[in-house]
Amino acid sequence: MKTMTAAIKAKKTLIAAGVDCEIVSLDRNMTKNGCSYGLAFSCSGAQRVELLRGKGKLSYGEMIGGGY
Amino acid sequence: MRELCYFDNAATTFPKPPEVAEEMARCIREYCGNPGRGSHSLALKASEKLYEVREKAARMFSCSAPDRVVLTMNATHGLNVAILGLISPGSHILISDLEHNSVLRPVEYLKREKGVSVSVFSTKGNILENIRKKLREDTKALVCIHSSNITNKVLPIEKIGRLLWMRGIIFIVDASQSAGAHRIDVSRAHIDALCMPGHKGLLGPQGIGLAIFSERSLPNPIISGGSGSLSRLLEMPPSLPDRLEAGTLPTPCATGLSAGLDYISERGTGDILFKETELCERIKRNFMFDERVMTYSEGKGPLWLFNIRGLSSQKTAQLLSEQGVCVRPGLHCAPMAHKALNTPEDGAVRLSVGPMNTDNDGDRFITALNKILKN
Repeated sequence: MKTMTAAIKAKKTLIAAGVDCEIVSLDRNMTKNGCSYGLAFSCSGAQRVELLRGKGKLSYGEMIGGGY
Repeated sequence: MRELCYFDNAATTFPKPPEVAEEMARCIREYCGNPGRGSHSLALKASEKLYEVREKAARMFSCSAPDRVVLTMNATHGLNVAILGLISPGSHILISDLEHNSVLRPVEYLKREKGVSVSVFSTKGNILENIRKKLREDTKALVCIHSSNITNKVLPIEKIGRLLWMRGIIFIVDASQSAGAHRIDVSRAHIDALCMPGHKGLLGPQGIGLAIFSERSLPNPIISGGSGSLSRLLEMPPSLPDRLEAGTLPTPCATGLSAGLDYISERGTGDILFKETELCERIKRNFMFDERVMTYSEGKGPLWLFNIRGLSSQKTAQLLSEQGVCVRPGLHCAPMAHKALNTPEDGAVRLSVGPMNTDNDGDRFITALNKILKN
């Protein structure tokens, strides 16, 4: 997520879908323009998150495996 | 200290519901991190509180996306963001004859510095027809007040919005007096930018306002700086709200506003306006046959603009103040609107009823004004 507001919006979407998650700051090396946020969730929620992404319910997102 | 009788709610509402101060104090004590700066627990909590305000405001004004609710310092700031950020140089715009300086001054800047031409439409008679007559091929925007700050005139924003939307004209609305009192639906009224203060009808503290933008409007920022996002970019982030929120936001004020929004939602905007109007009308009725009292405001509502023959507005306000009554004299930052109402050079006295006024306040005002009239 490029902004904190987008991250909060996405977190609410995930929680409503039953995926427990937390907002994290992304490592500066992982973001092209710096200061971006991500959502950390357990692997068991990955499929549901993909589904939400596919339905366009998350404005932006790249799934990064492990590390968070 | 003598108990005050406060009737200057159009300037700022007072007192606030106790929950407003309580939430602000809780914020300062418990969770006042810097919102959007990092993801530690306090920064996150502050960010989530800001998001709550956006959600509540989006619900109240029927905006489908909370991220299009931008936090500003006040209505003037929001209007500057909208007017300077959306209106392109050389275009033609329309404003009403009731505008406040928060619109008149940025518009004057555009006129002087950016070659924007400005036409003023009258709010007397058929407003839609008056607007139609002033529209031009190159009209790009219409900026208007929703509810006047000196008279009870309310502009038909839904009808105006439809007229403009069909022609692709940007619609900017100043809801300084109406937010919290009137029901406003930004989608139905096709409003591109709805700007309001937090400290008037929304019952929040001073220092925060809201500007709600439509999907088709993305203003150019007028202030640049840190946003906590995309920090390597040398321009502001492309998406709302970050694009228009440079610098640290006033989290305590936002949480106070959040409590104010809850209070209004609970009481209902219709009920608040009804009671304010009822009290104001009762006060006015006491003086309507007194030839020494001149009324300028039109229609029913929470405002009464008046003067006492032979006294300047400042003198009347001072005599009321000596009896503990707070009202505002002068031009109320709306010289053009005063001209439209034919008030004298030094303006008039404005009594403005608010959500917290009681019948007892009304009685005290009536007694105080009668005392002045007898002397």
